[in-house]
Amino acid sequence: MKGLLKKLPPFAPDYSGVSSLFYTLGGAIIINGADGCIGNVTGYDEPRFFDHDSYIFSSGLKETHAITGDEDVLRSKIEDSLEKEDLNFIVILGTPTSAVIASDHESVTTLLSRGREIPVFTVNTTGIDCYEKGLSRAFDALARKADFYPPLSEPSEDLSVNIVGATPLDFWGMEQAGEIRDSLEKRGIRVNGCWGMDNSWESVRKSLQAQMNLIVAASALRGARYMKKHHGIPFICGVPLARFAEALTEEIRGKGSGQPAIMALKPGRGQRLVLLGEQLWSCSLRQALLLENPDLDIRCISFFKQEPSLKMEGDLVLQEEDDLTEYVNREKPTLVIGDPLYRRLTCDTPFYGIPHLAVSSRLYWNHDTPYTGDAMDLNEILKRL
Amino acid sequence: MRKIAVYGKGGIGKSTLTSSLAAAVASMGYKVVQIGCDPKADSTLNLTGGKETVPVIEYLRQHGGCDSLDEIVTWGYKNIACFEAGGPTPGTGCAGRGIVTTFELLDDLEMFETYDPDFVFYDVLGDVVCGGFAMPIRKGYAEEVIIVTSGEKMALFAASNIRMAVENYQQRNYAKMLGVILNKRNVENEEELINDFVQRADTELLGVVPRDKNIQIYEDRCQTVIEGDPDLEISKKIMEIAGRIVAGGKAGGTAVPGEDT
Amino acid sequence: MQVLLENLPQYLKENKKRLNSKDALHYCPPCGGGWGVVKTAVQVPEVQVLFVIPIGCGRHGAIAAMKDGTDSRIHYLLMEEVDLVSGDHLEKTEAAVRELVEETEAKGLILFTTCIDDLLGSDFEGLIEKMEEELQIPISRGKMNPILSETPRAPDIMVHNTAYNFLRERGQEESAVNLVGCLSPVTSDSELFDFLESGGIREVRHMGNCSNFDEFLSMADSRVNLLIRAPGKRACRDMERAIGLPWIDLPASFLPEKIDEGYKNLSLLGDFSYDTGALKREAEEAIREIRPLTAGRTAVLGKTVNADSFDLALFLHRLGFQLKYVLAAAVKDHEQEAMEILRTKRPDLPVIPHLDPALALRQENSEEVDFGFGLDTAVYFRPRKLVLLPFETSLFGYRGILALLESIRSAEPFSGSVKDLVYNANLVI
Repeated sequence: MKGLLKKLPPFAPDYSGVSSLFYTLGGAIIINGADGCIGNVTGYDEPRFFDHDSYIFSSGLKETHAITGDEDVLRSKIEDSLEKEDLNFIVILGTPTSAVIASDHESVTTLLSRGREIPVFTVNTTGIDCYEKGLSRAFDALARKADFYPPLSEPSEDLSVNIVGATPLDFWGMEQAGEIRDSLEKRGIRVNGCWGMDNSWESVRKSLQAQMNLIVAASALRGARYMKKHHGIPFICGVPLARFAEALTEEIRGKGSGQPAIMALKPGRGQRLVLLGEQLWSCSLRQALLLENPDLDIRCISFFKQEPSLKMEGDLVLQEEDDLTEYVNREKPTLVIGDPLYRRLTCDTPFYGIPHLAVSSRLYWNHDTPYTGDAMDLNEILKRL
Repeated sequence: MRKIAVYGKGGIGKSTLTSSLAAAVASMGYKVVQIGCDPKADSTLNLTGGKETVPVIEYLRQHGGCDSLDEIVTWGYKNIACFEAGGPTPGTGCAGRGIVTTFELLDDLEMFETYDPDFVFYDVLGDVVCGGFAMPIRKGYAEEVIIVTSGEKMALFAASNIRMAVENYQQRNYAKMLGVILNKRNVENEEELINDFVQRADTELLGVVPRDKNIQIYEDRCQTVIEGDPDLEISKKIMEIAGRIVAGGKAGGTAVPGEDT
Repeated sequence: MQVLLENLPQYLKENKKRLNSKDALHYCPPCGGGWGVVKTAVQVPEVQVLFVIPIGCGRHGAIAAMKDGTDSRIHYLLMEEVDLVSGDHLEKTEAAVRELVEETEAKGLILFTTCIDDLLGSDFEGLIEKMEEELQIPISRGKMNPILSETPRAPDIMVHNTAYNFLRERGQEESAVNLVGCLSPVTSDSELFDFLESGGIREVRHMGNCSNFDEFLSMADSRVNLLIRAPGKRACRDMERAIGLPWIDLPASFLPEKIDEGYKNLSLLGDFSYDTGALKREAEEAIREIRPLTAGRTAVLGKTVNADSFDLALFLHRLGFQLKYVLAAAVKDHEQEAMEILRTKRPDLPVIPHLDPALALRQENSEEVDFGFGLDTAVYFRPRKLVLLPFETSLFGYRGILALLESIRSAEPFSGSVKDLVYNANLVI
């Protein structure tokens, strides 16, 4: 039935998404809820917890404060508890509890902003939505912080991009982000910054120096559109991987065919492959596989939100667990590629597992096979066909 | 032990009337507890002679927990044990949950076992009938519901909502309607309007409380009319209604202290 | 903010027995968790567990259960935004319960709700009554509601009630007792079992040892509940009220005088011929023998241990350890005395609330100590040797002391990955 999970875990929630973007930027992240909420982030959705300074806190929301109103308490807790110097920002996130009592985070951030030179802001997550919705709001919030950007940040002369959207929830390891970076740099494209992993507040502040944003997750599109409109930075979508890396970098260089590389090749009518994952990564993988075998009928389906303009025929969003089982029984694909947990729903269909952290959390996050960049080996997939 | 929830629209005179009924029942010799379930936390002022009962939520907010009934109870007229749930700062928080929390705390502190009351009155704001405000009519709490209303449109609207909530819960063997009390506002055709409501609600009229300046006079002294002057007409009227309540809602019943009710 | 032991009573008074300040943010690293309600509840055999949750509340428990291999019995019904206002999730819950009961061969069902339904005041009791009647299956209400953490209705306390609520009809089995409150069963080598057997009690039940639902229900027939750890106290009291099953306080402790007291309590049950004297002397001797290894050694006691903080802290102090810090959440009633004794000996001992926001900065400049007790000490300090005391092993009695001493003696220099250590422990906050 709708909303009932019998085989899959609940996916990463929206506040995990937001936290994931801000995690390494040197600020304080406050999750306004009971301690159980933050436990999802620190223990299950944030693989960098022990590798990076983790300045993330729960407000420790208690029943009495939920009843009497928690804004003043939250403000004073934040004022009294943050001992770290040189914070770059403070961001407050909401949880189901704060959503139900309608906590006024805006007023708390306004009060906390007084007398502080760093940005204090909120992303009003609810813990009711999935990570990609939180991430989308977070990328947008970061893009809108125009006041962070140095006023004289002119675009650089060389060909440079910001990688926007590479969070662990979609790409789980630093290595995966590193592969994306290497793939661009070896083709002479300078990486100006990376929003999500492998970056710093300083590099975010210099974002306007890049000539272009490379969007590697659909959740970053909203922020990218804002930056295009307000700062004139164009964006291109796609994850450089296998031979698709070349097509994508051609597009970045302005030498593409005129249409987005990520939509360039249409699926054929041969063996049917189903890719389940983050939309931009799946679409990029589809292009890479079509470069190897143009006959393949590759569908990108997902439990997460898809950007309509990037959908091709047969792509779709699934609502429920049962939808996936029904889908494979109906469409009878030759191979399904996706997070190993989806195998529980695909009956006897041959399956190739590629972890998606927003689905399987820490169950596979030590997995070190590259699924991005030039190092991604498509033979592992092709030999299963 | 009988547990009775008195619901009504805010401002209808529900707290004044509940306190008067509690005082009347207590004056018959019964042990009574009154629990104010309104964020205003002023339900029991007329029983305590104006002494403010510390609202449970406020106590928890300040102390983090509560280990003893003595810290939150105020003893009122005829030893009525008075509690106030309290609630949020206006504009924030969650009032409904305040009631749930208060009830759970009273359970934890074994209030019913300790005081072993004959009657428990819950004085509940009836404007909103969400989960929290409906708590008093859930299993384990009030088994009977009295609706206080006037003939005013908004009061009747609230009364009707409360009636619906009780009906919804009735299927689960929760609280049942005991009856309606008309607290007169001297609206045109008031009796007719109320009779109509009582009929539609399939319940009975427990009594009519006329407008009487004595209520206000004693309220200014933080007293109920029962305490102030039991010989007043209005006091007799309320005693009469209390008698019906004690008799289980049957019209004209008379109270006999000590007997199993 | 850390508190010196000499100032602790006043601090506790202001803070209502808990150590974590009610005025501070909480730092919640994955090393600070425990079993969580999921792992505890799923010990009841052959029941299906349904959580009615917003997506953000269920993830940790679900993944932890997958790692433990218990996930096939755990299900989640996701709440939507509109449910918060409409209460529609109650009807959806009914449908989900029907579906699960029809599809699985559940003997019972545990229905967990969250802070949200606490705030909404949703009537799950009524729903449960209705569904029990319709489906003819026992359903127990559970609450994963951390807004009540550190209160008498904290989820780690109430989850025991959730489990034992299934016990209904009381029979009479004089030769059986139950162990309550300890997450895992007391280790089978404990002299507790010999002691009980010497008085004719041959069956010692723990929910984690029950192989099927009927066996679990037979806990209601036992002669008495033995309360091993404090979180089970409320369940013991409620079982006494509901089905007349009495209980005896038998706290797991590392202090010989408390172990003695426990056995004395137990002796009221009847004639027990087992003499604990010899084992007590063995433990005392072992304590003397280990002193050269422990005296003057620096140690930190963490929160993530299967023991009461101040009970264990006093024991470690008596072993001669130079305690540098104790991380703890609260001082429970029955460890108050141990805390007071320790306070007279070590008024200068800093006690760190385990969620103290200052801990976020500690990783950067951690101090080296000879011994760390509990895996969280490896996160905040640099212990040369680490003794874990995991929740999966419930030590009890004099053999518990001997086992702990053996862990201290055999502790290897710690050189592993803290990260692996923490994630392998599979804890839930």
